[in-house]
Amino acid sequence: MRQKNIKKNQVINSFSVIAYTGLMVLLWLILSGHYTQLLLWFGALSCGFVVFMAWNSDILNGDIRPEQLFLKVPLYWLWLIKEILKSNFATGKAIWANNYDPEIFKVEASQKSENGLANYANSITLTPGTVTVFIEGNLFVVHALTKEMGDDVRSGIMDNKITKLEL
Amino acid sequence: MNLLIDFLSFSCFFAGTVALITGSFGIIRLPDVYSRIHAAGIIDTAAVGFIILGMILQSGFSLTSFKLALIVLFLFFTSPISGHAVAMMANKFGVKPQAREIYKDNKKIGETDG
Repeated sequence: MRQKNIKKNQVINSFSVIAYTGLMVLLWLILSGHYTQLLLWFGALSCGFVVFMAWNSDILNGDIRPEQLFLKVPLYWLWLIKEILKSNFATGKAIWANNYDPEIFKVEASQKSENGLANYANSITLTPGTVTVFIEGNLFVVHALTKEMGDDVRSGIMDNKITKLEL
Repeated sequence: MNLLIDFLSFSCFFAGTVALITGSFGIIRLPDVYSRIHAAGIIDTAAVGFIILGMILQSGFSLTSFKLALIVLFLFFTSPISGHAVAMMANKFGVKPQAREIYKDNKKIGETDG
């Protein structure tokens, strides 16, 4: 298997800065519930700090499209929740039946951006029964509890869905 | 209607409890670190998800429900990172997994080159 170099996109996207700031302010306003002058200043300060930290760590670079967050991503989450329920059931059954056969294998991720790779690795780890152990470039080393769970990852359905998500 | 919501939320609490017991039992029963992360994953996803879904059904359509849903959202973003951190560190410090290794090339974990 070959390994690609993942290049980090360092251009700041102004649309994602605005959308991210708006999201932070909205979240603070909903969660706070107190609207006196002092607390609003604290809110503005903490939102500013979070946006500054995000700016500083180069994650506002247009790899994450804020408009996608409301269109494509919830559909993917629904699919992911279905997968999580399925694999929870399978893992629980493997535990109670004492019937497991752990295996370690490599998969190649087809995502282009760092965020896509992180999304894929997190999705693999979030479904019980499969854990991403090691990441190097676009090669993942995955630990699976049974062969069927390993086959689910190797089939590449999740990989395809996340690659479609990032375009 | 009230009775139906109560019934649904109690079913959710029951499912969450079953998932919690399964996960706890799995943490004890499974052989090594890597497998035990799977059992912890059941608690992180199904147990927490069902119990908070039951709470949302109890509190109805309100701000509290929204905050509870946000807990699940943030937990689903952060729990895989902790699971991955445990697995990565175990691998880094040389904990051997009791597992079949399926590689196309005969290299160890972390020795992938090109």
